[in-house]
Amino acid sequence: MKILRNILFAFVIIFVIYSCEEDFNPYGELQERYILNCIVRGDSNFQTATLTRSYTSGNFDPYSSTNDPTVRNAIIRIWNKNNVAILKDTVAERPEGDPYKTPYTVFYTNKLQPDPNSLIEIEALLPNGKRLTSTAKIPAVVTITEILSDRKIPPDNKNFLKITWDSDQKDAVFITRLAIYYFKHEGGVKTRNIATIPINYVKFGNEWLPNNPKPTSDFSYVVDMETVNKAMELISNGDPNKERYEILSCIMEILSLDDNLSLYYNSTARGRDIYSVKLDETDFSNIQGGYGIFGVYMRDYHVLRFTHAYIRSFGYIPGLTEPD
Amino acid sequence: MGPSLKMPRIIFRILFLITLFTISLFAQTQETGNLRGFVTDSTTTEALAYGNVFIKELGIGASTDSRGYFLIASVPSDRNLTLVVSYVGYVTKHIPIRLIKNRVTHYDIILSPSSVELQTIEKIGERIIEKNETDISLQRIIARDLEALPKGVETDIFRSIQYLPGVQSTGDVSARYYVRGGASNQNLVLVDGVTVYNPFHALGLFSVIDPDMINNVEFYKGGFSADLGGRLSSVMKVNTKDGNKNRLSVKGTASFLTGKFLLEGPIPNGSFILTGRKTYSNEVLKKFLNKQSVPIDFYDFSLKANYSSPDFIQGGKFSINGFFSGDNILSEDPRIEDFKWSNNIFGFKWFQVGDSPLFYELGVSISNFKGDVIPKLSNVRQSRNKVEDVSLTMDFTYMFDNKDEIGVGFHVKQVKTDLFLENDRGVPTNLGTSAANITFYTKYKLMQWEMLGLDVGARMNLTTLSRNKKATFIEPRVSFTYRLIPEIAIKGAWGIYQQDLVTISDEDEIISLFEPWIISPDYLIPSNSTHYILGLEIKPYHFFTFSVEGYYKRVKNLPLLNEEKILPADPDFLAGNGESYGLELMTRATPNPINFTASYTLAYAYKELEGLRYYPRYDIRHTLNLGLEINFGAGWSASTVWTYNSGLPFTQLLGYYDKYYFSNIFAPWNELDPRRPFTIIEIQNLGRLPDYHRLDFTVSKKFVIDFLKFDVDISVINVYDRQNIFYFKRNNGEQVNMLPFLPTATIKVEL
Repeated sequence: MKILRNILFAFVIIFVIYSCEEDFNPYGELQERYILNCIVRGDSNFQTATLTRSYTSGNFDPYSSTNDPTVRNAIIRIWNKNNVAILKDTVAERPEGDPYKTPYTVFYTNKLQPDPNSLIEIEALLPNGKRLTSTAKIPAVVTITEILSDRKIPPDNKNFLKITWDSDQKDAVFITRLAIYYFKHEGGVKTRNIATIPINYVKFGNEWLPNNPKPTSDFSYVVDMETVNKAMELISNGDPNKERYEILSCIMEILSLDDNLSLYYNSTARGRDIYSVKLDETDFSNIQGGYGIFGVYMRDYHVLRFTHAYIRSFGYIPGLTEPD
Repeated sequence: MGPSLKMPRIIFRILFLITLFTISLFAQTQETGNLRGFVTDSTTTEALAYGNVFIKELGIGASTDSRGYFLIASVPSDRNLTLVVSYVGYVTKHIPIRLIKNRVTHYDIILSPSSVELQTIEKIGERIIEKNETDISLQRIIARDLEALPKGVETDIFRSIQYLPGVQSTGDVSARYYVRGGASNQNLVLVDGVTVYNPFHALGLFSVIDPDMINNVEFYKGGFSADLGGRLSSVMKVNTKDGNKNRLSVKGTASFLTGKFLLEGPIPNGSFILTGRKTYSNEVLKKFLNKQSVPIDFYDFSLKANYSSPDFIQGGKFSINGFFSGDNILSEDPRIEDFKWSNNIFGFKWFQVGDSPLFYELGVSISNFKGDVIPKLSNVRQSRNKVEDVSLTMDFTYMFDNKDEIGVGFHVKQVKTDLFLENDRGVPTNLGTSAANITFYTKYKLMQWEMLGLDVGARMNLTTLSRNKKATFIEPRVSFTYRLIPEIAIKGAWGIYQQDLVTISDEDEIISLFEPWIISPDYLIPSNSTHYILGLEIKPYHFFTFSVEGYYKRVKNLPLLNEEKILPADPDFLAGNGESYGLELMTRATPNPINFTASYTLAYAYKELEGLRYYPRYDIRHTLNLGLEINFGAGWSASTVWTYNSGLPFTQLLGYYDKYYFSNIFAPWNELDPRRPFTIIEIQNLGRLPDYHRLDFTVSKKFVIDFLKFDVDISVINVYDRQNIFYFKRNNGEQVNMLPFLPTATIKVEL
């Protein structure tokens, strides 16, 4: 039995010695890739695009790379029906704290108003001769149906708001936002702010957490007045000086995304659960020859005005005239 | 419904007539008597599976099956004989018997555990009773085998089988197992014959099957016979305990993770058993989950009652069993999503032996699985999966005088699946459907020659769950054993296997919470695999066995998640192919009081999708397991296992790019978004992680204080604290390791 114990002991010692960590390099060999992002607004003739390149990091931390990956001197063109727009490059200042110190390069045009239900194409010709292309279908116009939508807050004889819209594209995906616009007066300065109204609020401890709307294929949006009231309250949460808040109006915005943009938006805005561990993230891109997104959205909006009595019930100041 | 019903009906009738004719023919020519019975434990009254029953004077015998049942045909009648019944760890019994001509004589044999807790056994216990048993790729595991292995946090059948050659694991953090290059959803798990759809607890860390409810396990790594089907790779049949017929017994067990109880006892003409397990602390799970605190809460509960009375039906045994498990990950924070899973299983069985060497089993069962992802205020997509399975099984076995056996069976499985989820555009969809799989099987076991055993059968799918017209109608199966000399046997198997109930699995997820089941979509031909297995078994001494098995498995129409899906109309699945082959060596030496096991596997696995051939995540080229178990006597025992795996495949990282994220899609124009690096990756699984190895150790002590029996285990996982890499985080390069040095303990108290 003693021999057996000794064998066991020797067994353990051998493997303790053999337990050292090994060197391991998870990197393969990178061939440079290019990224084109262009999201075309259907309600504007001002369009922008960005072009960057991939990069590596020597210490596994991508945030440690400070070499600006922007690609300059490229030619970017967008075709829609018989129109072609050549995007010019310009520079913009980066936000404070951005690790890239050189100005941000943006390609833009103010001559492209996309035509609904038509094809739109983009081509980026890089200085090294590489070419990135993509095609998208411009979605149909989305229009808020004024006569079926509330225009006043609070509405008469009901405790919810309803906004309805229409589109020729029946399989469209919409993204909505209902928001209160207001000024805050502080130290003689007036700042404009936006308070989003969610579907509802959930109380967690002392905090009211918003349940924001997800992309939808529905053609209407309903929110309880209880939620609107809570959104109004939270504008001045913790501030006893309610009169510093000047309430303007409530605006319902709706975006209709094309298929590619809809998928890209979902792939970036909708997360995985926090417990799963996935190593290889699926990346959605519709750029041939590189990565990124070329998409189009159409937009409409609808204004709902507050009654002065309603605004004053929160201690705030009305900023616009009363609704009819 | 898949294939036409006309042809199956004709085949069914022909086979039925042949069966009836053959049975009647052999029944009339019987000249001798038949011996049958059950072998049970004297203290627990549990069936002793895979024991030896041997007629000394004739040199013939049989092994007990998973129910403890044996049948020896063609025993000379009207002659005094000695029946020797032996089982490892039990006192061998010699019973004088005398059979009556043309009659079946029934013996219920009760064996007493050996007073000395050593594996002493008379040589007869190690003799190969059934030299020609067609059992290639079959591992039989009894409850005491599970107890002997290092336990870790919990004894777990899924983790225990990972020490077998040909069974792969992708790490300490998951109880998922992969058999001979097959994905984990290609493994069928049956508890008392009923399918368990979600056999995992707690993010896949443990199996739902409480080892205390297990009597024995039959694990088929491939080449399984025609009575089993529905999966491409493996079958695990868990046979649960019946409960103590002699006395009421209560057992309590506590580990760092769960509290358990077991209650068993007699009822009129039968017995019952209840087991339950519940988490009370998940602090230890942080070791598994990279220090992350996950509010895991799980339970499982099983019940079984059986009844057998000659006053009701002679030779009949009825049992009902229930199995219920649930997992919840519920967060108080409404910004964090919740998860819920549950299995609810209920079954009824009637096992009947008759006055002829015919026995049959009828079963009715319901197995429901439900899984929910509840997003609350998080950005996770809402999902819900439900499976409702109602099954009816009828299995008949008849043994001829010449020891040949014929088995026929009829299985009906009605499955309804519901899968509610949001698609990639955020629109809710339901992928649910309902269908029935009606199967008839027949198999003939040629056992009349002592040195040759041949099992030929076929499984006919009269209807399939898949509506695809190209579903496989017939699944032929062949298995053989040819013993060259008493010490050496050649074994082989070949068969075709179909699976049309699949999970939506993302192979890139190394910890996966939601793997919903669906019936194979109509646009895909149900996947099928072909197994080719050839092996050699050498047993030169009663305490030494060496076996080698080579296998080749080809899988067609494997449903693989369409990673390139862009448009809603694009299919969720694409049909891929799989191929795997390998060589498995295993040796076992059991000189008293040592049990030494060594196994080595050389394996290759590939998948192919759209022309790209790649290694699946569980392709491990070399696996070596060394196990040593020593019984010191006086209640002391110790075991240790060392495991070595060559590196797992992983996808290399090529670089990063700054991806555009919508911080506010309503902004007047695209804002300068804070940079969010996104990784660019190499072709799937071209790289290899460093090798994995780990040493585990357990020491156990059994003792009695007054009327209480104690069983204390102290285990150490990863004795030398090897830093086995689990994965590295793509966003910051942090290396996440598998289990570190982890001491654990369990205490079991029996009243």
